[in-house]
This record gives sequence, structure tokens and C-alpha cells, in this order.
Amino acid sequence: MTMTAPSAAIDRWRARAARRGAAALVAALILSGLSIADLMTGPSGMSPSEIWHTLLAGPAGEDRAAATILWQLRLPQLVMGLIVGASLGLAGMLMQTILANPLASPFTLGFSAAAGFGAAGAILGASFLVLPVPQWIVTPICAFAATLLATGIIWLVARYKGSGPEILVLAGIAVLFFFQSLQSLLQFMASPEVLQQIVFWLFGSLLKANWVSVQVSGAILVACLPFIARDLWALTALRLGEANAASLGLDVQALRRRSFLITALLTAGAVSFTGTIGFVGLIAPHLARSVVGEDHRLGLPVAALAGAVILIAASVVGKLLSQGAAIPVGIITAVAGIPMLMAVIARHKES
Amino acid sequence: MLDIHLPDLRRGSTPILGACCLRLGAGEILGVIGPNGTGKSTLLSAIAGLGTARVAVLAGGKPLGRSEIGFLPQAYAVRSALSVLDCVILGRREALGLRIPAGLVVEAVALLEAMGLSALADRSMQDLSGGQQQRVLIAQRLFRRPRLLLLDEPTSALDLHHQLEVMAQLRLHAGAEAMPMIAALHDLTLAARLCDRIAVLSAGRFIRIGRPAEILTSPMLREHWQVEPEILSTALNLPVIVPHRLAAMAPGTPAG
Repeated sequence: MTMTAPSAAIDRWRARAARRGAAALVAALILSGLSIADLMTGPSGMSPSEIWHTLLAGPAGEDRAAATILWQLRLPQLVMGLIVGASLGLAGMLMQTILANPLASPFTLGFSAAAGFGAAGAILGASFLVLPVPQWIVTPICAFAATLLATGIIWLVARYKGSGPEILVLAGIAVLFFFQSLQSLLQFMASPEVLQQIVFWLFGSLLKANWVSVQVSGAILVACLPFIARDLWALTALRLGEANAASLGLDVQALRRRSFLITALLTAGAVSFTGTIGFVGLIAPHLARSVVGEDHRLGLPVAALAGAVILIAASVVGKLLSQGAAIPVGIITAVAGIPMLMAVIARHKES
Repeated sequence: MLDIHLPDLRRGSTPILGACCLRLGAGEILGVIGPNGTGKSTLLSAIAGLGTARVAVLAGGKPLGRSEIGFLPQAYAVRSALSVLDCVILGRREALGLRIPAGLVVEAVALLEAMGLSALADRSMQDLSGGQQQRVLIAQRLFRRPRLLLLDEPTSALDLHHQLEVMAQLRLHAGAEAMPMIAALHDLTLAARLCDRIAVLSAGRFIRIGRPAEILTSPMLREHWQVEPEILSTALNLPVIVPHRLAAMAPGTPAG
């Protein structure tokens, strides 16, 4: 070994850290570009300069039509897409790390089925009862509550049977089928008009977004961030295996329980307003790891960026494909997600 | 001076390890040997604080926390794309913030160099062989600088060259940091070479503890391993154990 070897190893290590930082910046740039494209697309086309002026004029701008389109429709939909994509990307990364399973996603433990049941119940209930609050507030509240109920069930199982990946996944599958069956029952009981509303909710779509949903989902995301930040190194250590993490003085079971609670909150915050948006939380972590590796200091932020990139890209494509009525993003991500999932499986088999 | 007090360990109603006390000198390496299934791994993970039993590890009368005890479990396949250098740095995860202190990286690279691993520094853990992974994980535990290091079969996947290299590093760190170690080992010749003292564990009880040459005797191997050994004494004054054939069963002893 020559005397220069150690410093060469340090230089290579630094160079790689710099490359990964640059990759994260590129991801942020791509997201900015897509966000601008998203603002520019829609049934009533607006030119870039028109958008610029309307943005500067603020929500109370003189051109009422343009201000309404931009400030009440396109902007809240864009911001909601960013929040939902980031939440699902983070939740997916956490899930894949704590379950040590590359095919885990925020929906693995049945949270989306629970949210769907809650929303279906709210829509069906509203067709019988006259509620003092508008439907668009009741549905997300019920979806959120049902997700918390599912979380509670899994939490109890984990409390008494241990928080190993097998236990969590088995409990999650049970919860998934339980809420899916209940949701089917509600759909069966619903009249054709109500059924149509339920099905429309289940297609995750950003069209349901408004500034209230942005504030609620955004607040949940921001509230979760400090708790995620505390565990960055613990999560990275878990990538080396449970035995290794435990022997570094980590309480792996407690880490799993914490992280799955955060996943539940992020997922509930994301899907309660928009409906189920599949594959984002499954694919984004893989994109992130392939670009910046398994160090969660960069991996989690880039998973959030990747989730937002996928969702905003799906939103732009949905609006371009169908000029009149945008195709819901949930359908686009599901269709585009299958080949992406195949790529993930193929890549995994090689290693 | 380090004292370890273990209560009776049970799995359900089955006793698996009898209560015992162990005392280790500063920098002492204690080998734990014994046939399969006698409780060597159970002993180590209990001392590491990973079991349910209340094990007291006292350094100068003061109890050590779980994070002050290093533990290398039996070799398992690591499936992670983290680099070797990142893996070693994680040994001091408590010292890591949003930035990794530059001094820590320098130190980790020096340790990799000393352990003959610097050529692997950039490689992914999942691309390494079992033996290479085992050496990196040992480096990670040494980098952690615990007050007590527990090693479960630390050389199980290593070739002769790397067995010697790892043993030399363990000896060096045990001395330099006055860090006592307990290593569960199957290779008795290796145990004799590495350890200051050897404890024999049989059916969950410590039978004997003493210097390697006192412990590794033909009657001991015949009784507890049921092998007829040939024990050679070498110029290094270390016993070399050559398993010769299975010991004849005493009449009335059930086979198996």
C-alpha cells in the first residue's frame, strides 16, 4: 500500500458525495421545470407571459377569469401535487427501509384501502343524511379517520406480537382485505349515482385540491419532517440489517413503530383529499436510491423530490392527453407505474 | 476491570443458560468454546442486552449502557448498497449529524488501511464476499470503540491469512483501548492463539475457565466434544488440536 492510498480513498468518497448532491439539485431543477409546465397546461390555455402577469397580479388581479383559473385551480392543484408526491415518496422510502422489502409502498399496510372505505362511507352517508358541512370536507375527514383506525389496529398487533417485518406485513394484509371488503359492501349498497361518486373518489385526482386541502396536507407533511430528520442515521443503519442496527445500540422495534406511524400520517394526509394514487410511493424510493444511494440524509429528500416529479409529470400528461377533462393522475401513475415496477423487479433480480 | 452478572436464562420453561459471573481484565480476550447448541450465541446476545434477561455489565462498579457494548452477531449476508467506508463510519452513528465530521472519515479510512480493506472502501457491501463483509463489520465494531466487545464467530468466513490479520487487529485494539472482548469460537486452535483465557460452555453451564493450555486437554475434548483428539505442542508453545476420530462411547451412553 502506498502512503497516498488513504487520502485517495477520502477524495473518492468526497467526490461521490458531491456527485450525489449535484444529482439532488438536478432532481430539484427537473421538478421546477415540470411545475412551470403544469401551470401552463389546462383546458383553457394560457401563454407563459399571461401566467407570469397573473401570478404577479395576485389572486385579486384585474383579469378575473385568468386570476380564478390560476389562483383557484391550477396553483392549488400544483401545490397539492407537490405535497402529495413528496409525502408518498417519503412514506414509501420509510416503508421499504423498515420492512426491508423493495416492493413495500405506503399502501402495503392497507392505509389506502382504509382511506377508500372512509371516503366511500362518507359519500354514501351524505346521500342519506343532510350534513351541515359540505361534502368536500366530510369525505377527507372520514378517509383520514379510517386510515387512523387501520393504523391503530396494526399498532396494537405490533405492540403485542412484536414489530418484525413479517408481523407488520401480515397485519397490514389483514387490514387491507378487511377494509377492501367493507368498501365493496358499501359500493354494493350504493345507488348508481352514489357509486359513480365513490368510484370517482377512488381514482386519485388533483382536481379535488383547493387551498384548504393544501394547508391541511402541507401541515401534516411539515409536522412529520422533524421526526423523520431525527432518525436519518438510524434508518441508514437499518439498511445493513436488523442485527447490525441492534448491535449499534438501536432499538429497532421502536424505530419501526415510529416510522410506520409517520408513514400512516403522511399517507393519510396525502390520499384523504385526492384519493388513492398508486405506484408513486413504490417507485420514488427506487429512483432515489439509484441516484443518491442508501444514505437517508439525501435518500429521503430525493425520494420526496422523485415522488413530486412523478406526480406532476402525470398531471401534465393527464392534461395534455385529454384537453377537455384531465385524466386523473391516479390512473396515469397506475398505467405508467406497471412498466416502472417491472424495471424495478428486473433490476432487483440481477443483484 | 469488568464484571458481568447473568441471571438464569430460560426460553419458555426450558433453562438455556445457568446464572454466572464473569470478570474480565482490561484488554483481556476471553474465548467461549463449547459444542453446538450449548448457548454461546445466547450468552453473547444476552450480555449485549438484546435478550429479555436483565444482565448487569459493570465497569469499575458502574453499569454500562447498551450502546457502550459492541456486538458482532454471527455472520449473515448484508444486502445493502452502502459503501464499505459508509458502513464503517456508521459504527459511530451517535457522532453523525447532517454533516459527517471530516476527522471521522480520516480515522475510518486509516482503520480500513490497517485492516487491509482500503482497496474495498468504495465498494457496495452487497457486492462483497462473505469473508469481506465479515471483516468490514468487525472494522465497524472496532471503529465504534465500545467498552466491551462481543464477537460471535468473528473468523467463521475468513481464510488463514485474514484470520491472522483480524486476530492481530483484535489483539491490538484490545490492548490499545484496554477493551476487553469475549469471542465465541469453534476453532479451538484459533481460540488458543487469540485468547488470554478460555471458558468452556457445556449444556448451558460454564464447566471450566482458564489458560488455553490448561483447558484444551484430551480428557476435556473427549468428554464434551466426543472426539479423540491429538494435541500437538508447537515451538510457539500453543496447543494445536487435530481431531483424530470420534471418541468411543462409554457403555450405556446413548448415541447421538
